[in-house]
Amino acid sequence: MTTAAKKHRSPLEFSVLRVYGIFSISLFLLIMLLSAFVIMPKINQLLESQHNKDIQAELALEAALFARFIESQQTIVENLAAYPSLTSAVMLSDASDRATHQLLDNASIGGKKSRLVLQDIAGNILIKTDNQLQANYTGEPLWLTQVINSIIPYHFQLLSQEGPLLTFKISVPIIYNGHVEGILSSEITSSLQDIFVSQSFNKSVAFKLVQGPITVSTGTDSIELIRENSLLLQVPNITFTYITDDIIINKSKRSLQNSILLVLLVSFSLSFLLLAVIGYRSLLRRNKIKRHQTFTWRTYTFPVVVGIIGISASIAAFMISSNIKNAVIEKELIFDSKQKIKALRKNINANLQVIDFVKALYGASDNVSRQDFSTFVTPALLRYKSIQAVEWVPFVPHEQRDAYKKEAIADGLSHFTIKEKSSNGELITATERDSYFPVYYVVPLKGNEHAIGFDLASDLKRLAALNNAIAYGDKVATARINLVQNSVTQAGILIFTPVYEENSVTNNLKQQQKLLGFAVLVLRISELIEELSIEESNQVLMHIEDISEPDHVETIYGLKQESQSLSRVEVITVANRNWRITTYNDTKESPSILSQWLVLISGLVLSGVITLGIYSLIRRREVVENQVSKRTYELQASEEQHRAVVENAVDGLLTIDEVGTIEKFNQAAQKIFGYSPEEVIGVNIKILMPEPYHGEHDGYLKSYRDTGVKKIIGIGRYVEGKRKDGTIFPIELSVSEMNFGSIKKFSGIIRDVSERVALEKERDSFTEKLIESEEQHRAVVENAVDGLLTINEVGTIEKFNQAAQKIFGYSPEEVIGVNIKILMPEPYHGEHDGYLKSYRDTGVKKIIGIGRYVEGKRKDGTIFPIELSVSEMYFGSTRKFSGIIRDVSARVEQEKEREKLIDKLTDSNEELERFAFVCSHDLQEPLRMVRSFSEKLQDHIAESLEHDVKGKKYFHFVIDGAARAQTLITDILTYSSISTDTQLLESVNIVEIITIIKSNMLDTAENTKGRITFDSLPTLQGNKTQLFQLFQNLINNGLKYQKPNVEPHVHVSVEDSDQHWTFSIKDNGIGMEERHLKKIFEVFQRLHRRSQYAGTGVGLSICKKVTERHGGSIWVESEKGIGSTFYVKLLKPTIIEDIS
Amino acid sequence: MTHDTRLAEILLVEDNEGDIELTREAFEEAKFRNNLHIAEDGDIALDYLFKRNEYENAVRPDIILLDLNLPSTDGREVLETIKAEPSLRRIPVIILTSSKADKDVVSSYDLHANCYIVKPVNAVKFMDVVKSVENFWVDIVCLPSKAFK
Repeated sequence: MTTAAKKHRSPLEFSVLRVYGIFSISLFLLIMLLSAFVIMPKINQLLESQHNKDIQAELALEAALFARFIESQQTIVENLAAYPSLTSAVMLSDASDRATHQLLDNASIGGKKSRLVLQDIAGNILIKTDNQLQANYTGEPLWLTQVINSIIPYHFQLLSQEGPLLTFKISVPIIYNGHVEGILSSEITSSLQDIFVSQSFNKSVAFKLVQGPITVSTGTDSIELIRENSLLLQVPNITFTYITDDIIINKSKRSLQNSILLVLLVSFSLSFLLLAVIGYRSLLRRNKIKRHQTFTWRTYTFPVVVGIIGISASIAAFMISSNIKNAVIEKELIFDSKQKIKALRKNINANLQVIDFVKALYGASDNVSRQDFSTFVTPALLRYKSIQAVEWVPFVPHEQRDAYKKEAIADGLSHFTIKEKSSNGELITATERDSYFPVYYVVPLKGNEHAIGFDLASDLKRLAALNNAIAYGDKVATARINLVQNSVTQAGILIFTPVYEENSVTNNLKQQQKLLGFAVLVLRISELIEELSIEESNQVLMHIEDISEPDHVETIYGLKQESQSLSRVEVITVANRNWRITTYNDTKESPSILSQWLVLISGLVLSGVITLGIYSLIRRREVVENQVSKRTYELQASEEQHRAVVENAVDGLLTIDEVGTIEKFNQAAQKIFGYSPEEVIGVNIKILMPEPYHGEHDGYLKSYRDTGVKKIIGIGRYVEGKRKDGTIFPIELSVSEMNFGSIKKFSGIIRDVSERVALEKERDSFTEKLIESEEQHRAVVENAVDGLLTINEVGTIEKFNQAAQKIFGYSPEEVIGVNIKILMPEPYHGEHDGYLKSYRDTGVKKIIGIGRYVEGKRKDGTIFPIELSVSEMYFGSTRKFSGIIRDVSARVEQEKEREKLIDKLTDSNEELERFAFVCSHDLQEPLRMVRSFSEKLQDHIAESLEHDVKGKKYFHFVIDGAARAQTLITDILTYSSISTDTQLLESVNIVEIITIIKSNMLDTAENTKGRITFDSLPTLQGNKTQLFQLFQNLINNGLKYQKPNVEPHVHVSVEDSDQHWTFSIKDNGIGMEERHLKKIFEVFQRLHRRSQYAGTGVGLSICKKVTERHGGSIWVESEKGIGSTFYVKLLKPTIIEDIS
Repeated sequence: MTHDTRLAEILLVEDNEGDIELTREAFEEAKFRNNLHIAEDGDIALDYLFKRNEYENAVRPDIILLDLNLPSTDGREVLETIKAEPSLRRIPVIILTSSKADKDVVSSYDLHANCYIVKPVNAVKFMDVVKSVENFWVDIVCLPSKAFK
């Protein structure tokens, strides 16, 4: 599709497309969003489970590798055990054979000198190649029995770890003829790196071996997030733990998540921007193209979608920033955790050194007094706040109980006795036993007095630790013990280390006898941790559990992490006990949570603002369009009123276009002119005009178009109208101009001034067809030259057009809502309410539909005459009155002026007439002299003139001239006497007059020829002399202006119309050209030379004057060469009486 | 004088017999040789000038003496018609009338009358005026009729 075609697409189609576009985009985005939240966890899960599988596989592999290593060691030992000399030695329980000794001494396992123990079936040690053996071979330990009875094929035992070196023991049976005859045990020390090869090239893995209380592990220093996966190896009876670093999988999980979220964020942001731009532009465009569009839910789809996308983008951004934040937090946590655990370990080791020192003290001196002990230990106590006490717990056989008591009392402990805990928890004097382990020395004594004399062997937890310490010959810690000091209970541990009389441990069987006692360290855990020297920023929390006994996990320190948030777990070994340390962040104090919420909130706020912005834009447009439609509705309502005003106006209203074509023609105009709208609409307005307006109008319009010179626009004046029946009548016309853009129209208000009374008739129907548009109506009302106003039933003004404002001097604001009385002077002012009321009650109209002259009052108080026409309108049940007001003060003024002028003219006319009368009368005298005496002179010199042609001619001119002057004067006298004649009216029989004229004619010599005929003629009321003159002149003219050789004939007839008689005097004479028809009635106007037809040119002027004096008119119709007919139209007698 | 070879053609438009007589006598008295043509009303004058009806062979006048008050078509109309007609408008038209009204004087000149003379009441003076007219318009003034014929 071309651009042009797109542009021409209909707005509706465009809007539907847009809505679908938005829908599909938002659907796509929603799908993406949902999938991100559903698929992403799924991917994580898969990743996790794959990781788990991998780890399990690696664990299995590593465990198998380890098992194989053990197996290889076992094979070496087994091979050694297969020597016949060993077999025979055990069978005989005699190891005196030097060869056998040599064999074992020289045997090398793992590249080092072997430490081997050969035992017979009874457990007696036959040969041991080394005195520093760690395992317990005496006292029929369980493993010995198991191996001898073939319950297990061999026995593997972890012994100890010293740094990177692991010591373990493998015991294999010596078999002869399928019977176990003895046991060969080998204590092997091997490098951990040799055992766990994979760790040497992968720093992020570690291994841990747990067998009973012994735990061996490779370094976990390089591991960030420890993850332990354990496997119980049945044959060596060992828990194999494979430690991996979770940080790697976490990192990859996070980066995957971040990339998905980033894609989402970018696409959301782009579509958000795109939509916002599209939406804004489409809003702009919609503002330009005004459309009448109803607002539906679809209008609001757009902001909703924008909002959803904005929220989604914000969430995505939030998640990304959370991920990044979490990574940072995790990193920090790992760092802090490692730092803290390292510090803890260091601190514990430092504390443990104290006990080693004590052990060394006993090793160095035979007898340690109470004072010696205190002196030796006190500095350490001062240094390590976590040490609650250091104790010396001697091994006291029952027989020495009293001796120890005495010594203690001697030392100042007067109440010393060996105590134990009763079943109800109280300390009581210990019952008799074979031996005791009482707390004998305590530093500091203060606060620990209650511990003095307590037999540690009487407490199960302590006893277990004692036994273990004996078993391992090393430091052993207890499980958690509640320490009571200063009546405050807190968690603590006791660490025992056995002290032997001899430094060298050669035979375990003899060790117990040589045991002197235990050095005991009492540690307060909380202080152990609180005094850690770490950075202050390290705010991680610790939760320490003792997991040495899997069935009985006990919290040593701290609170269990409540939330599921990030944590790091590490297991450390403290004096042969395993502590699981969980480090985590304090969620309550988590300081850096703000930023990602800031991202979320600002994103939400931004999208909210944009959504609201778009919404409010749409909303505002909706409001505006609602207002527009409301206003349109109101305008339509007011248009109805306007229309009613126009149609019900008493005055005629019509509209024409620029060239004069009628476009509107209201009812009143129809009544005034007698045309129906169909007859005049589309016709030029000249049809309504008589001459000269008819001929001039086009030129006037043209000149107005060309020059802008107004003649009547906005002025109002009196002109003449022509009805359909041809009658001409006076109208009052006001024209106003209206501009509809470039189109110019004119509206005229016409008032039939002559017959105003006829205007009132039925006009109650409002169902007339109204074609006119609202604007034109309003323009008609507003532009009208006449004032238009509308009042309601009680007289309150509701409308007040511009012309009315000009007439009264009020602005619409001043009068609308005010009673119309404000515009009336007294007495109208006082009467108006009563008049309206009486009209409402009785229906008696006083001016409605009639129009009359009243008085108006301007704002400045001046009173002026107005012509008012009021019409009534119904809008449903509401009744209103509209008034058209014309300020007639100017007209009244003019009329007065005219009357004055007429008076003046009448005066001067009368004077002139009098003068003419006098003049002509006095002129007769000298003329008569001239004529008489020139005739006399002619007679007198008749003889001498006989041959004087010129003289005769001169006399002729003199006499003829005088005669003519006489005739002229007579005629002028007659003419002027018509107006001066004030005789009363009398009945005049026209037949009688004509009969006299006939007889007169017969008497006259010139008019011997000719015929006068007449129909039956009426009797008139009038001046007999004048009427006689009228008919005589007309008849004589008819006879006089004749063609030669034709008998003149004059016929008089009459036509009877309603109010008039129209006489016609018809002749068969010479006739006249049309151009002379009017001229002949003017004074002294003649058409013929005197030589042709005599006359003064006064006769017809007299006729005209007589007719006019009788209220009639005279005119002539003629055809040259055929004849003329003179018409005399006179009012019938009754009307004549009225005139008088 | 050069124009003695030909008679001056004068058209007098006048309805008053007395004035016609006086004019004729004035010309005779002045020994002025001319052909005087009389038209007694406006219609006849126009017929003569446009050579209509019985005036087909009428001679084109050198000057026209025109009265204003004539029966039927009056002098004003005649003047207007002459001055509107290209072939006639060069003929000098001398208004010779009894009207002294300013209105008539002005309107005549507006209609391009060549001069306006009020008829003297006195017969002797009347004759003098006519003679002066003859003297001026026939002897002194150079008229186009002499140049173009």
